[in-house]
Amino acid sequence: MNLTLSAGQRAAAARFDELFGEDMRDDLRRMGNRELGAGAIAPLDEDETDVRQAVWQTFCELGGLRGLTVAEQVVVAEKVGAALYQSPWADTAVAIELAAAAGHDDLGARMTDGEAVAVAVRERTGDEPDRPGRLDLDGGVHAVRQFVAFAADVSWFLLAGVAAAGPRLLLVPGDHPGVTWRRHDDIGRGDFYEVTFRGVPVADVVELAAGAPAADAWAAALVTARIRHAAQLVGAAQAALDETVAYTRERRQFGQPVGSFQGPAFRMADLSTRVHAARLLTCYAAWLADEGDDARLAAYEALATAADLVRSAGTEAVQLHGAVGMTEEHDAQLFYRRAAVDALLWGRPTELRRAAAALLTEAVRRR
Amino acid sequence: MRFNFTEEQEEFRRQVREFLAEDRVRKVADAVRHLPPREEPGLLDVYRWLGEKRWLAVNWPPEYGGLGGTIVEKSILTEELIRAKVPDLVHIVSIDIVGLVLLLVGTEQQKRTYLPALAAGEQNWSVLYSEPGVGSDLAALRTRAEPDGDGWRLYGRKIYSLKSQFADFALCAARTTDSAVRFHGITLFVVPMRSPGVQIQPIWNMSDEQFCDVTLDGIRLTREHVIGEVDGGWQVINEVLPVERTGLEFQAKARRLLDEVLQRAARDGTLDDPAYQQRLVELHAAATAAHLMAWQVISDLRDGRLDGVTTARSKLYATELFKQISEFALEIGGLDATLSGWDAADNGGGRREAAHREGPGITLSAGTSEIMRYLIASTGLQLLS
Ligand SMILES: Cc1cc2nc3c(=O)[nH]c(=O)nc-3n(C[C@H](O)[C@H](O)[C@H](O)COP(=O)(O)OP(=O)(O)OC[C@H]3O[C@@H](n4cnc5c(N)ncnc54)[C@H](O)[C@@H]3O)c2cc1C
Repeated sequence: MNLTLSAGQRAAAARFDELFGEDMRDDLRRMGNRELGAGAIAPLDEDETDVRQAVWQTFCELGGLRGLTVAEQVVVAEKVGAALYQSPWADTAVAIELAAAAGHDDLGARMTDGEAVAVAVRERTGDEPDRPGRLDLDGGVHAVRQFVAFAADVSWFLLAGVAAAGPRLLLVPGDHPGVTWRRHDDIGRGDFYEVTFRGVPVADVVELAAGAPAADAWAAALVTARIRHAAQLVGAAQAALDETVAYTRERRQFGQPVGSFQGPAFRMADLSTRVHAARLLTCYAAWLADEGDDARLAAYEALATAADLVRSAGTEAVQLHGAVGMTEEHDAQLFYRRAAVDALLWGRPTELRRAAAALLTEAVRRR
Repeated sequence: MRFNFTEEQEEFRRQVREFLAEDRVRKVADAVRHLPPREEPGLLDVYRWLGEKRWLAVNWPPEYGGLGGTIVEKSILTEELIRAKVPDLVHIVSIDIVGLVLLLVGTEQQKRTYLPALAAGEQNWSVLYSEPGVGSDLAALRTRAEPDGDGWRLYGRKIYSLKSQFADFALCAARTTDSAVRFHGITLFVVPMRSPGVQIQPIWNMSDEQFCDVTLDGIRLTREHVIGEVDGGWQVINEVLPVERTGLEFQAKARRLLDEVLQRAARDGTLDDPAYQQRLVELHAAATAAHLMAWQVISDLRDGRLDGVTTARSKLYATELFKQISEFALEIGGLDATLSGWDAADNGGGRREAAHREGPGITLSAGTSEIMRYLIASTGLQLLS
């Protein structure tokens, strides 16, 4: 038992101190921020795209995707979450894992160096990532996918789907003419797209896995993706709490800081306790994954817990800021809106708990 | 980060578990379960047997009856006692609280006098802090030690203590000096509980463990009864309080209760019902988190780090969770779960009913949930000022 951060974890975190530090924070949090309702129509701002590319390149050069254990990845993920940094990081990490499992080390290395990937798995907007959508391989690859992040920026799409002949994991070049996209307008105002694959010749596509191995590899990749995502949400919740603590220490009403009243202070104390709990659950899941143990139950529970937490943190942030927390220039509403999407992105908490329940039931019956 | 125990620690846990599975121990645990209403366990034979193995205070130095182990082994023992449904309270109060105070600030003479009997499971102590007008704000205590020759006479009333009816001695906080600074002038004393000046009355409460109402009427004390410095008791109390708040035993109790709920749900089929599964998984995740939080505090303690905020979070989280689980135990069990162990049809299910009566006390004792939130908000988040 040693529940302090390991040297490796501290080193991994320290590498990103500057990128995700105070100076960059405002820019990072607002990167990709759009006008209300403008998601689908406004073209991407050229300058902003350059900035985004530069940050991504820096992230990769700092080794954000290189040779980290899962336990190290989660401390990086917390920083990503705290900065509300939206990037192809999560999806690319999944693709690297799958490429390695499929023996495509060359492709994995290119992704590690910055060839970004977007996961394309949902056929309908309400789908869960555990159940990849339909895939038609007749005369090239045909599919429609929703909530594909950064479709306009990436080098590859990781297309997960079920064809007539069974599950497939495919890498489709990002700039292929057979691929078109339309941006969603979601509450987080992030960079999500509906992507249509229209007859992309099979020769232009890399098949990572097919049949049962594809299903297994996808399920395994989802476990680590969920651990990373849980950590990202913990980071966001911590940051929302930090903002709220800082603000309520300054804001005065009735002649004293509002943070000096027990009503608000105790709610922040509860939130801080929940952040701590979710962080330990996430680190535990990461440790299990690194040890090669079955991390599924811990991963599902960590993500469901973190997802509930990040939504509470967003809600509390706005409430405890008062009306200013709703204003566009303030981060509180940003946490609130992003939490709405991020809490669902790698699976609804209810679905995660359903999957966890099956594992728990099995474990109880075995005992 | 390392979430597993060493081979030696696992081996210790295995040995403890094996011992606690012995017939003689099971008989004691069963007897406790079948105690009539309003009777509760005091010193148990199990403690003596553990004392013979030097496990009861395994973390104490050998000269005081321990094995020179760390708080990790001690915590493993506590977890296993709870898992095996052996009452742990007398043991926790005596070893973890009183023992720790004596180890920290007792004189060599006091340590040699009191610790071996505690480690052997032959004596137990209670803690006399709270008073009729004094709960969370302990520094306001009014029990007085009035100068008397080369010593003092103790006058006052202490309430809500547990297990005083069995105690040989008690650790008592009393005011020795009136001071403008409230925290100054409090002294910790050893009070021999079987003296004429000590009267003990039960205060019945809803849980299985009664409160004691202790009247101290002029009992005479000397320097030998002072633990730590005269007038300097507050620092000691504050040093020890966080150690009562590791959350370790509370999370262990929460897990035991959740296990019971899960086992029953597996038997009657509710475990497969999605309507209950959601909450079960939430609680299971939280119990895992509570376990990790408590062990983080324990490993901090082992490494000589004591952080009042980390402990407050752990205590708050584990105790609030216990209450949520006990509430859910009733929800998923239905009326069956409201039957006590004294009901004619009892099949061991009474533990849920007993847990539901125990729950409210654990978010009060050793610092209420509000006081934990206060510590987290003030010391941890720099709020409240
Ligand atoms: C099971 C159990 C075992 C116990 N064992 C012992 C024992 O062995 N020895 C002993 O001396 N005592 C013991 N106690 C007493 C225990 O220490 C007190 O219950 C505790 O200190 C709280 O005091 P109180 O109950 O008088 O509540 P109060 O302090 O009167 O508090 C009442 C309510 O007000 C809240 N409150 C108080 N102050 C604040 C504040 N500043 N901000 C916000 N809210 C506040 C509290 O949280 C609580 O909800 C035990 C109690 C229980 C329940």
